[in-house]
Amino acid sequence: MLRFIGGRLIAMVLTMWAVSFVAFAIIQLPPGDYLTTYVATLSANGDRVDPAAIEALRRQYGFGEPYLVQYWKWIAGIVTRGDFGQSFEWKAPVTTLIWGRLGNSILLEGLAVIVMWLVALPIGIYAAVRKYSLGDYLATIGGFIGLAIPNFFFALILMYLTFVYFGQTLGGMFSPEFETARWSLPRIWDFLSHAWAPILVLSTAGTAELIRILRANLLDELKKPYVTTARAKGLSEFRTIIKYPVRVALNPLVSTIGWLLPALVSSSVIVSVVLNLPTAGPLLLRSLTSQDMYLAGAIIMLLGVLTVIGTLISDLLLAWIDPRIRYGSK
Amino acid sequence: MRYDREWKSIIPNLAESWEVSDDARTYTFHLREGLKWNNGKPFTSADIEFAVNLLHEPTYAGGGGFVKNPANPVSIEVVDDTTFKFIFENPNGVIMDELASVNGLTIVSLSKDYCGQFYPGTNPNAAEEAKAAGFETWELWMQDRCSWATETIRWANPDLPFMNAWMIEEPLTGDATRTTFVRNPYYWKVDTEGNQLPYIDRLEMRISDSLEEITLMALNGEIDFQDRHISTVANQPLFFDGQEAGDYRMGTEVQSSSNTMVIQFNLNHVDPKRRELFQNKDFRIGISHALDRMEIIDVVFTGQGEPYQVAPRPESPYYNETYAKQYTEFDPALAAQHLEAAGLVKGSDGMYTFADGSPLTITIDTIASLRPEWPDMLELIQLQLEAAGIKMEINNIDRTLYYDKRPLGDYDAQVWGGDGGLDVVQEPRYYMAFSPESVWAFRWQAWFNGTTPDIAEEPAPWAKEQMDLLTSLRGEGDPDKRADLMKQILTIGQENFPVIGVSLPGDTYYIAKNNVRNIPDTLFQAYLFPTPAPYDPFQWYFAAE
Amino acid sequence: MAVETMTRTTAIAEVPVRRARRESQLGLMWRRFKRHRLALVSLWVVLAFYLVALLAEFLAPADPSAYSARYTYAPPQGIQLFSTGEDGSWRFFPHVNGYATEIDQKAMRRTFVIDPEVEIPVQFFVPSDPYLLAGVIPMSVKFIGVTEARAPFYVLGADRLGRDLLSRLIHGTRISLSIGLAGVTLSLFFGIIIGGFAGYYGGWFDSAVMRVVEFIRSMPTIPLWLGLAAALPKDWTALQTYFAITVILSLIGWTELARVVRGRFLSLRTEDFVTAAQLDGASDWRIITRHMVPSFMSHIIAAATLAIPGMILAETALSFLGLGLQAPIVSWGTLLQDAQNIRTLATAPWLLTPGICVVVIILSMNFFGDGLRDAADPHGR
Repeated sequence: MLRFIGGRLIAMVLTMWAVSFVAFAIIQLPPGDYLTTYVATLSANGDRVDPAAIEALRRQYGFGEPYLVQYWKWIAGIVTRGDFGQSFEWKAPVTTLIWGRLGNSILLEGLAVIVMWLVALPIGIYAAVRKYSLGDYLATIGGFIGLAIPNFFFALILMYLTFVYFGQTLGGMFSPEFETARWSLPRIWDFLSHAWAPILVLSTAGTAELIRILRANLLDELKKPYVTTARAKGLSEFRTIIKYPVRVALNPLVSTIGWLLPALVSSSVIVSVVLNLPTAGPLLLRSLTSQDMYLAGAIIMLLGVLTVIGTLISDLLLAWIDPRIRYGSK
Repeated sequence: MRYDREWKSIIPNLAESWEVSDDARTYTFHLREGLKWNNGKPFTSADIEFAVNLLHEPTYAGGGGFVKNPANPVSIEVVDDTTFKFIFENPNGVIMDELASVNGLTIVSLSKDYCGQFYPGTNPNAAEEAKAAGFETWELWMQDRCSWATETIRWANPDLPFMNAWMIEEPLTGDATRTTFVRNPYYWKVDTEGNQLPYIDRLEMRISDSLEEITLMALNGEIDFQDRHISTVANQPLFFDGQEAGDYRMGTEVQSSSNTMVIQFNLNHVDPKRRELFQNKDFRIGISHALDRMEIIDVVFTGQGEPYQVAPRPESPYYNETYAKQYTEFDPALAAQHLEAAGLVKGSDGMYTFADGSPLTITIDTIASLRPEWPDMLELIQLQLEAAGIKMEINNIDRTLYYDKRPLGDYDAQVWGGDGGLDVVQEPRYYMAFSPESVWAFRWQAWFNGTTPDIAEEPAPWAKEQMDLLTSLRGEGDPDKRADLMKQILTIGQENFPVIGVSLPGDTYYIAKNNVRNIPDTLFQAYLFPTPAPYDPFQWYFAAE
Repeated sequence: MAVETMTRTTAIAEVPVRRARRESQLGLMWRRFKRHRLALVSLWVVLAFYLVALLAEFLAPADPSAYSARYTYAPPQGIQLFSTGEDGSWRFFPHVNGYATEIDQKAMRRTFVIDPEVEIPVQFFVPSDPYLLAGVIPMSVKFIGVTEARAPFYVLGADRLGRDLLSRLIHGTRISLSIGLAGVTLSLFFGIIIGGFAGYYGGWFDSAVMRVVEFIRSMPTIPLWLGLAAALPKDWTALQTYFAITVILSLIGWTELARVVRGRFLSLRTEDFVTAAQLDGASDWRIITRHMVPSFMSHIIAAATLAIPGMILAETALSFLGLGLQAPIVSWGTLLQDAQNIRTLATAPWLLTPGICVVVIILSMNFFGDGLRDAADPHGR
């Protein structure tokens, strides 16, 4: 087990390094740099910009240096000092900007995962046990519709309908009076009255996939002889299904955490833009357009790292549950 | 200094009075007695001096306006705590307008006491302290603490001393969802009964990347005042219908802009054949006559507005009907006549080519993200020009690239809004080759301004004459003579017709909650003005229910 | 003699047997597929959509960029099949009703009332300006339209510039579906080659490829797309961007296919017929292309079908963020981007029709793919 964990950890560090490299490469790709954007904004406002001052700024920011040097400085700062660099646009260290927003992202996505499981579990079991029944079809179609509606579209319609029928605007995570308040019961209530919409939008898309996998796994499992034996021995139908097949069918689902995370992170970017949620998504979008490269790079990288950690956790869980994985495949 | 509400004259604000020397080179200002920053420290001539010195630093890029103008350097002389002089190397007739507009903000917004700690000129250890604070240089530290250049910096530092009616409570940061301001206890204005202004204690601004969220908030009556971004033509029916339910009202805003979209052919194109064509006035007249402006107004603006060239607005004292209306009628025959006079030849497929038979396709650059109606208008124009025999392509590009292309000079045409409709003297970019925003004559303005000498080109005689007139205008102290010089510049602009306009922007609207009072029914909307500050928000108040 | 007869009998017997076997593989699959009724319906829906995409110019009543000042935000007319006479009698007369329009200057809008008095006849195969169908076949007739000049024909309503939504939707279908198809083809190409070699050779190459695949799949897609799309040269034309977006989408799409292909290869590598071919001295390339790929092609097709919806959704998402396709190219994504504002939701809900199309096609593709996968599985029910 220790050897397995060690191997996975090494692989994870390598992957993280690759993620950081790709993240940095992506933000370097667009032509121009933050200063071109900055000059453009200033002169659009009718302000004069001294070319000499811009040249000086360019030197101060280190834009002229070769790619690898810039990368090395950045990554060295992160590893040694936890310093992700400066955000040009906000004139502040990247670290002060992102943690709060990443926390919000994780909170919303975590809640969405829980909701997905709570919904998918009973439906998936029902669909497998009552295969090809009306309920099975309805569950499948419902799940697929959730998958098929583009997230931003769903969020926008939800926002508008809530306004028309309940006279509320859904944007943000809190009402103004709770914005900076301490956590308390009323504040949690206020949070939930705002957060249900993004959680609903986020979880609809993934639920269909979960139902599909659970149903398929359970169907395979139900065909096995031990289920028939259990039935023959007179175990109640409910116990027959819940006791073993469901547990076995759930095993592969643990591995879904790995792909669930990147998918959720992606869709939350879009939902957050529509609903104006203070998550990492809108900040990333803005930093990409203004070429605020260290900020954009840090967000892309941290989202990637989150996913890698998620994958690791699900790998370890799987290995813990199922010894074959520990010693098998490799 | 500030403008009055009619945007006609300049009235005292922080400065109580001022004198201009006869040669218009020395301006003496007298500040009011007892002015204080919001931290209680006195506001004096020393603060102005500090600002001038800081902005003179060549390595500091924090905006700077007239202080940084290489063509007319300025120095400051402090007489006493409330009196100081600006001394210009050349006569300066436009400085008062600059000080009264939004560009006059920086010079009175840098507290020597606070910002001085980051400046080597006042704090010898500034460079080391900047390093210690985590900044590479003092310039970067200064920009972080005391810059007024962009919104993301301006409201980010709650310690930055203010002279405004409200001061920062919760700053604008990357992870903020709102910014709040509270009343400035040291604000220097009182109402006629001696009550301390402002009336409103606290401002809260929502930070949102979602226009739809803001639209819904306004519809739901959650916004007390808003006049930008969401008050579009497209949203007007929506807001109109929602007034009762949302308990808000809509007021009129008159745009300072003279045009919904200005088509600027590149008169300095690097390709000689295209330069010759675009410089040909007949070509531009031909294109102008080929546009069916009424159709564009009908489709894109629901009939709001009228065909208009890029000329002073009807409200402006410089309004001239001929300039505003010339070549605006849709007349395909006349268009063909002018295009042929410009040397174009109709090919067998009915499309015009150059005289030598080589094909002609015009590419017009636009930025969809800036004004969503531009691509719509251009799509219509594309079809209209095609009917007239001119092939045109729309090139929807990013804003940075838009600027990058200008010095290179290989663009056919770019579009922009009609700045300078009311602010004729301050912003004559379409009437003459005035600034880098005169995209139609980028190399001529480079010659005039001397900022980028490597691409400067000697302008055509008429353009040069305008520049001479502007130079004498800038040095002229007498307002009547200045107005007369401006009229001469406009007349030359009218004769040479450098850029093509589409239509006069219709009025837009602001949205205000019904209980917010003291907002005039009609406002001028302009960045330079700057709306809504001249309408004294410090006197707005919430009516008791 | 005996030998001759034997060969003859085998020869005679073999031909029909082989044909029967060949038929049976596909036929079996088809029969199994047909049992999945939802999948069958979906297949027809998908085919219908692709037919629309192919015949876009013929089916669209109007040019997608033809605008009209008089009909901005005109609501859908619908098509009435019957006309009621003054005496209350009915007759078959397909028509659309005209509009009565007025401009409300205060609220800045046109108000439309469907005017039942005005009946504009609708006909099939109406003559039109000449055009090229799919860019090649010259034609001058449209599937459906009105014959009266300048009469409004907005079955599904008009957008903010008075452009016909139906025509734009039809042309958008072509772009959106082809982007899915092209992206999947590209993914398939990379997926089969890379996954195939990894599965066939195994060893270090296999583990290296699998690490790369795992790595790419662990990147959150939207930030990756955002970064790449933001990095596209800003001066590219709409068409170049279109192709670049396709490539970007398939950059991630190939990983899933490569995984599937590799899995199949691993299990097939030890099958007898592969060993036999190897012993026969067939080259690796020949073994892969002639023996292995055909044996699991159906699986690949199923996996590819399931990948298309993801591509279509991704295109709409990118377009929504303003990083995807640009006007004047019309896709479902750009149409939805136009519609994604409160004004549209409140006053012109018909502009949301592209959203319905997206939902329908993605549902159908998923059901179709599911059915295909079930049918292709020899161990299936």
